[in-house]
Amino acid sequence: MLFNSVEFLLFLPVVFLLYWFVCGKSLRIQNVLLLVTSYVFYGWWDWRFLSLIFLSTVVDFISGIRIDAAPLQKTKKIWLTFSMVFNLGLLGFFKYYNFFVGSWIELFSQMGIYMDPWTMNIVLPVGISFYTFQTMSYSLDIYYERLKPTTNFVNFAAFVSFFPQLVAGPIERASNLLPQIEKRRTFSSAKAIEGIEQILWGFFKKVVIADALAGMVSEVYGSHEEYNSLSLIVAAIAFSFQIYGDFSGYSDIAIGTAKLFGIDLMSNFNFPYLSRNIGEFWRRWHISLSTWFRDYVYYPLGGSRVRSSVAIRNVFVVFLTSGLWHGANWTFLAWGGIHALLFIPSFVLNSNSKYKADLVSGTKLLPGVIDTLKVALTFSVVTLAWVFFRSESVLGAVGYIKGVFSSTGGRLLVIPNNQIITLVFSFSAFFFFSWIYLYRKNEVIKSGERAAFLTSLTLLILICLFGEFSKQSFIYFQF
Amino acid sequence: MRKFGVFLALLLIAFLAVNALYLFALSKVDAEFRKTDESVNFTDESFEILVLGNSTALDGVNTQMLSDSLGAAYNFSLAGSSIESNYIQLEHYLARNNRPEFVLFFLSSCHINYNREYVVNPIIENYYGLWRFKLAELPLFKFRWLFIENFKKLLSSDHRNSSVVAGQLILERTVADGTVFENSSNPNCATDYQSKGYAFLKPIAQQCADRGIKFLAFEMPCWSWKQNNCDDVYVGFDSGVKFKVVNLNRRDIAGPLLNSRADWLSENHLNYAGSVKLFEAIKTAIMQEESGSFQ
Repeated sequence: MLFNSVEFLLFLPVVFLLYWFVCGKSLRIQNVLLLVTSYVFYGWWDWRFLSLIFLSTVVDFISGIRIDAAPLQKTKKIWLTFSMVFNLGLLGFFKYYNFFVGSWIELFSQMGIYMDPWTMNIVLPVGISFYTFQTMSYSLDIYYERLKPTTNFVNFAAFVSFFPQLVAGPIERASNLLPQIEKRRTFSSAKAIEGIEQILWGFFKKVVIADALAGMVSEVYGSHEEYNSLSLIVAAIAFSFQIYGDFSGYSDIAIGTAKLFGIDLMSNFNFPYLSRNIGEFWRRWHISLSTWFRDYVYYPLGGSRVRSSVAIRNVFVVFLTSGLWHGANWTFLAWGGIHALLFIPSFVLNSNSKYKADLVSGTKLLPGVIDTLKVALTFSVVTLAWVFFRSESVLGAVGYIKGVFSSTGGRLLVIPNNQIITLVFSFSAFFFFSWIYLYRKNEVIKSGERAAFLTSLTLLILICLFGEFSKQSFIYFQF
Repeated sequence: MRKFGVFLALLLIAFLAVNALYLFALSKVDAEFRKTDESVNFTDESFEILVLGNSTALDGVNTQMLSDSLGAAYNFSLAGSSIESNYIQLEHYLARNNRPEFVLFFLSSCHINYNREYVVNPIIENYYGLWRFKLAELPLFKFRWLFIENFKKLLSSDHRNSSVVAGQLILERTVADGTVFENSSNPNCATDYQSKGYAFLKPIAQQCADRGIKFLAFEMPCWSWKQNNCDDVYVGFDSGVKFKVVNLNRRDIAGPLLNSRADWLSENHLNYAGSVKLFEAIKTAIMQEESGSFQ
């Protein structure tokens, strides 16, 4: 079920009413409802793949208990390995099988050895990268003794399949979400109002920003060799905002929806395009994934507390696997590699953690010239890297970037007057509300119910006037 | 929970109020709303000529000049109108007013596919009582494009100074046609006729034939690169109803008649100056029809 569908518009209030008014008195029934409705939510797309979620849930539920109960480290490791092999195997088969087999055949064919293609028509189950990473983190946390396993299967299954974040995150940690599911929840009007506001802000980013840019981006990326340099730059910048609007919009709808059920999910985006270097960008972009890789890949490999050559290798491993996480394509690997290369200089100079404050301007009203230039430079290189992410092939991306720096003609992207006016409106509102939320988050300006009311009403009006309702799927569903 | 319920209720009430306010504002400031409000209330009118079509006819058919030279005329065209919308307007008009002598239908096949016959213009739905109980019927959503159209009035004096005369939208704005006519890009006229959806005009042609009203259709001119060398088309149906489609998009008509720098409002849409020039071609076709050259 898509968040931006009529089905969800009916589904959400029904589940909300059942959750608080019918099941509100019993935590156990509430969690059963969460589990059932989450499976309905997922099964709406394809009920057959519910079996994968269920299997992953069973495996990690048992593994968690066994890891904790095992008296010997060796036994704990066996159970952890079982969980990892199962989840990564699931992911590997559904997401990477064709990629690896295809690449293998291509490699051999280049050496003059021709092999039978073994590729199969495998459908990628929606959200598999998200829920497998969530369940793996549960087993890993128990193994590292950061968490005690739950003995209640329903609670655990509700944690794995919690519908707001099931298909595109945030990738929750059991240490944050599971205790909230196991504890009795009381309704908070303030939290629910916050939730409604965040849902509308998410919808705004999705249907007014991301979907409005989707057509223009597809048009140029689809035949980039026909367009001139300026058009390619415009489309590349448009994609930067499209993917941000799309993915952060989804996260906001997920976090806002969870708040309606009295649950706080982790923050997934923190104004990433205000970053002053790549290190800061990765602390602000897809936070739940970058911290996952930090905690479960980078730190176990030794992090930065090893020889510098090993530390650099660790950085590459994290960025390349993070790229590959997005999909089975060399473009994602190249995208991860580019980010690693961009990250290394500040990592070597030990300035990657330099910027920790949310507000670029600090205590001043406006940021300084140097900071502004750093933000612009970071945005430019991130945009350049997105070209690899969005292109169909690495060669296509290289061709696109060549086109950006080429002076030979090409077509100019024509944007109709009405669309330009709409975009000016949409982006003015987007920047204005982003500013509001940034300053509100940092308590520079106060928030309250009156502000939430005005913001919600304005967002609702803007969604109606400028939203694209072509039922565009979320980009991150494919991951 | 009560506080949250009150919040949601207030949000809903405020949202509905904004919708009502938007609809009210449109009825006061939007040219097409006001025009439709006027035309839906016609009773016992005696127009000689009724003009139907979409935005190309709304801007490009000079009804005032038709009135001055051939008899009282009114332009019912609306931006984005479909044949179905025009049919609803015509049926409504004929039920309450005197029979006109001519109904002129203006197509613009060079840029619009007329096969979408059942899509009714939202303004027509609003004024002709065709509302349905759907979320998409909320005025902010239903008339969303009119927000930008009316916002243009704040940005441009051309839009601010626009007016509606006898149903024609008069907008003194110029966008040059920088395209070039290429003979080789002409459509295959015979095949193109099939794709233009002339068949969808049957209900209107039938309505006219049943009441003894002369019906004539026109292809509006487009920018140079979309002009063609196709002849006029004669369309006939099994019921015996037949009509002529006068091709004003012919290069030898539109080319010499229209100034590519001065007569266009936007792509494929004539401005007022263009409508003045086109008038002669329309008049000639009507005179020919009146003299019975096609019967």
